[in-house]
Amino acid sequence: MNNKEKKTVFIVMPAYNEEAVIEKQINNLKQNGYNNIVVVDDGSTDDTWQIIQKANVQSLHHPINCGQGAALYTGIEYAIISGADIIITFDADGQHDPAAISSFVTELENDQYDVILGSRFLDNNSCIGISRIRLFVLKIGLLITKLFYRMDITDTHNGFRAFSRKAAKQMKITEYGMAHASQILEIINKQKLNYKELGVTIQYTDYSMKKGQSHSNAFRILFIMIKRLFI
Amino acid sequence: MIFKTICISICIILSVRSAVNLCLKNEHRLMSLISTFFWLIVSLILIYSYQIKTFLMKILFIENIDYAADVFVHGAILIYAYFYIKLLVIISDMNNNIKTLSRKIAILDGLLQKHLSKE
Repeated sequence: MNNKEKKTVFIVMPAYNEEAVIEKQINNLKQNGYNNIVVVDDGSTDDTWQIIQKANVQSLHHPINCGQGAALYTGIEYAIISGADIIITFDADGQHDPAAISSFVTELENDQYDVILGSRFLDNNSCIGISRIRLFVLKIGLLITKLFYRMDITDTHNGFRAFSRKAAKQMKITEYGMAHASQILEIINKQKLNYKELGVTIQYTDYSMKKGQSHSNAFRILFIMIKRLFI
Repeated sequence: MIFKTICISICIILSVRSAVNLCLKNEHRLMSLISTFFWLIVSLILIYSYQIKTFLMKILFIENIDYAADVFVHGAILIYAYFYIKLLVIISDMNNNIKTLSRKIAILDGLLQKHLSKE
């Protein structure tokens, strides 16, 4: 493919019980000019699925709740089948700014990198409203990930990522829960994919803090990482 | 003796089978590792069963044990071990298979809807 040729960008957004924010988030993406939006409803028990269906996006629905990793994998697989050249993964809870997507796309369009990882710790003042406990847990997680995978990164569990088609095809996620973020880094490391981090601003709200994973989940992820490392 | 040899052979075959699965498959590797070690330990117990039996007889002050009881113990260990591991693997597989099936249904449904909306 010619470098200057316009590449097809797909946004993959997993959603679980996000009826309060999903419509606003979809509209924000559309206003920023992105029309290939794949929203994966991960077996929500509220009206998320009904809202997605009316929102004029490509909607997928898990009959049961499978986990964020599974929803992401479903969206990525669908985007690949639909002919995506660049796949952006994006959280549905309103933490991420759609305006930042263009810089991710520009980096991948140069064909220099396979994966662009969003980082809330690359620039100063990029974590708005983060609690001290969450910051501490994230920093510990970062230290462990660096130790395990020896990757030069500043943020491990950021849902804002961009994959080239080649990289997306390598993303065979088997960790269906929250440990998928560590598995993605493991795949990048094992497959020797070229990656770069870009600074993103994360807006922590009461809603996103309530929806986010619990701190105790960090131990579960650590156990899975150890398991994956040795077997 | 023949029965014991058959039991040991089965255990070693199952252990090797689990070890091969561990090396070749990407999924359920923890289960394969547990199975490998489990069958290995069971086969070692069977190989050293005479020593174990003598030791147990000494500490329990038992004078004599007949061959039928010996066969029964070996058979019971083998059947118990097989069904225990089988159950663990089935539970683990079922959980992940249902989720994978759910994902595939979602993709197929999405593609079908896309195709129908084009027509």
